[in-house]
Amino acid sequence: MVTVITNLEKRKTNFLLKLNYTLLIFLIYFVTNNIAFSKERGQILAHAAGCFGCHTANKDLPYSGGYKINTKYGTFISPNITFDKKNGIGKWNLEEFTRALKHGISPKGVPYYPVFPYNWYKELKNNDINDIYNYLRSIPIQSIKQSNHKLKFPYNFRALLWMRSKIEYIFFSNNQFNTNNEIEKQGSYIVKSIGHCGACHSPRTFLSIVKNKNDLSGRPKSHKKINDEAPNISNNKTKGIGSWDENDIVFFLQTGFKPDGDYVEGHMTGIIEDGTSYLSENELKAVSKYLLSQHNK
Amino acid sequence: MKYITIISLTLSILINNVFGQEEDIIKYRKNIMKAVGNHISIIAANLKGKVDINSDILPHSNALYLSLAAIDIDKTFPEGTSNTSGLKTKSLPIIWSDKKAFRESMKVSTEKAKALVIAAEGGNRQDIGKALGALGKTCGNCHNKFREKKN
Repeated sequence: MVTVITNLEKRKTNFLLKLNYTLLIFLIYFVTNNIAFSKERGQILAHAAGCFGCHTANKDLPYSGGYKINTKYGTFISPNITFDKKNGIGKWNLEEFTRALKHGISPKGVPYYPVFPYNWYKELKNNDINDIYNYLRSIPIQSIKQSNHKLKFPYNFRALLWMRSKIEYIFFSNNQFNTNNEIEKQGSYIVKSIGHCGACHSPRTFLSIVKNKNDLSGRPKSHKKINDEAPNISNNKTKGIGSWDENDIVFFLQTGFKPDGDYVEGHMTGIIEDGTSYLSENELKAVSKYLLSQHNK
Repeated sequence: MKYITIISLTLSILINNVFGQEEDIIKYRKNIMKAVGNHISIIAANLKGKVDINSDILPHSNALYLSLAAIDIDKTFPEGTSNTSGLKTKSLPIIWSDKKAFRESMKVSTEKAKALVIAAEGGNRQDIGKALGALGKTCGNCHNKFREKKN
């Protein structure tokens, strides 16, 4: 009798062990696949959102910063956003990363200059932020310390940014986008959040505040010596891109060629090469649909 | 008075002649670039599916390659024809001050156009698209450095 019980217990233990192994294998498979998917999506989003473009001066050292943006306020130098603990964002958790992206506040509570387009990123979905965060965590660390921005007086006083943000809060119209068309909604999300197209293509008022994110009617030079003008990309047939069709826009955002065979110029060259060309054809079709819709006047 | 009139007339004929030649060469090179753009838009129209005349891709890739390969930089971009000469052109003076870099850029574009021809011969639309994109990047590099930005 005792022998029978012992055998039964042994078989039970073996069965449970086998079950545990099987569950472990399933768990590893599930986690690995999900991380892989998340990384791939994270890479696409990090490119489409301009993280790569703005935080990479040397393509051999991606995301290590050092990219210079000349503005009428001075020169901004992008920081290292690899997970180096000393010079990058290695100490940041997901919550701090999200706060930086959505609210423009560093983990130490310091406000970021609006050259960092947090006003557009505030609409980012949490799972997209999660994918970008995990992707950045997975790439090689670069231990490069970038120098501080070189800004003119009084813009070099960061504390003034709190005042600016209050003014911006009053003037910034965070117009909600209402449509039942799911493709247009997706396009609007890419244009107004991930791609932050309005950061260049929307007119700016004093203190460089963008009054209306939905207005993509272009922006003149902010200073005669700075080539930061951006064309009208509204659906206006003469002033904007209303004469283009969906295929023209998709092809342009994939290759940089305009419908007349001319090639894109200026900053948009890099934005296509390192950004929009990473998006899928369906995502670019959604962008085209939104840009040509009545919502983009 | 008679001499002054003769001298003025001679000078104006000479100036007109010189500027006329410069204007002609500027128009000429603009036409080359327009032709290149037209070949690209014909290939692109097929890739976008706007038209379905795929048999046009190879001849227009060839024409595009030959148009670029045939450019004689010294004759097509003679001295004194930059956008600082008062003539209607977007060619920046750096074309002449860094002619080596300009030649190299044109050479790279021509090589990419040759790669486009090879892709077109293969007939795979994805490869053609990639080759056209690679050519585009070289166009962009050249325009950003050597062409005045459009308003």
